[in-house]
Amino acid sequence: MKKDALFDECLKNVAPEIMEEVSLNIDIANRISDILRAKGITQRKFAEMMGKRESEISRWLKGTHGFTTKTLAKISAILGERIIDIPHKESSYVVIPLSSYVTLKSTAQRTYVNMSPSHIQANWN
Amino acid sequence: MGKLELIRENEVVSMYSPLFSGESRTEFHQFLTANKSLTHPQLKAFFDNIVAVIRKMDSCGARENLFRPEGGRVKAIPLVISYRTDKRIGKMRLYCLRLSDRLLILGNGGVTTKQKYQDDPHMLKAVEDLRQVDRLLKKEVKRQRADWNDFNTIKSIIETITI
Repeated sequence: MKKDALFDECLKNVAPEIMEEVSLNIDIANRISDILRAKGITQRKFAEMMGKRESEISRWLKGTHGFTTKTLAKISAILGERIIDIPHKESSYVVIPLSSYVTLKSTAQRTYVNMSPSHIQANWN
Repeated sequence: MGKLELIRENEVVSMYSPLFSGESRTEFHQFLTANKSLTHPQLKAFFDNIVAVIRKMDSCGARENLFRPEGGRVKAIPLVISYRTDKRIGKMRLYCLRLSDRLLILGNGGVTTKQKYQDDPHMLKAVEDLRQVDRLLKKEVKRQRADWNDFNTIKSIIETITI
């Protein structure tokens, strides 16, 4: 593993929202690219399937296109594979501000507690 | 005599940059130094984009689909962020030579208001320098009868070649 001090200095100053946007756009581009490769679909064929020009598909695969959820949904439907999967929280995990829990001795302001909603209700008083 | 200096490396990708004879910094370091302190929001955003894309390649590699083609193996790092660009301020380009998903040579670039690199002397030089490096690499790989898919051999050529 080799790092570069000057690059790392620049990296520290990258705006967090840009870091996230870049990461997300590249992840989406790579995901679409991987699906196309796995299914043996060329860019040209994919463009036909989507009713788009090949140049537009090329931009999609570079990460330079900002997708709407509508377009992502259409891509997912046409390719038969989800492009983005958003994890759903387990219903047993509940965020409880500690100030509401007067019987607890912890001094933390907030904690994640692995309790079912019915258990919390039973023990609220 | 110039060489290709290793800039960053992990198990996914190795990034080099030309250090030409007579220069004290690599082409990539010259790019970073010249552009890291630009204060105009547009140029700062574009610079951040380029740095973030390079960082992202630490995990996904120098995948071909992520590059803007500039002719042959010379590529540019794309601007992937959504930004309402003022053409008068210009865009930012960083040119590189993509050898594979695992091997990338980072060149120079900068701010340009031109659509084509050929119309900007600084961008043109950055591209032509990389083309020269590409020619030298191809010549050496051919001389050694090496396989471009043989990562270790190509890496060795990169690290020993004189440019």
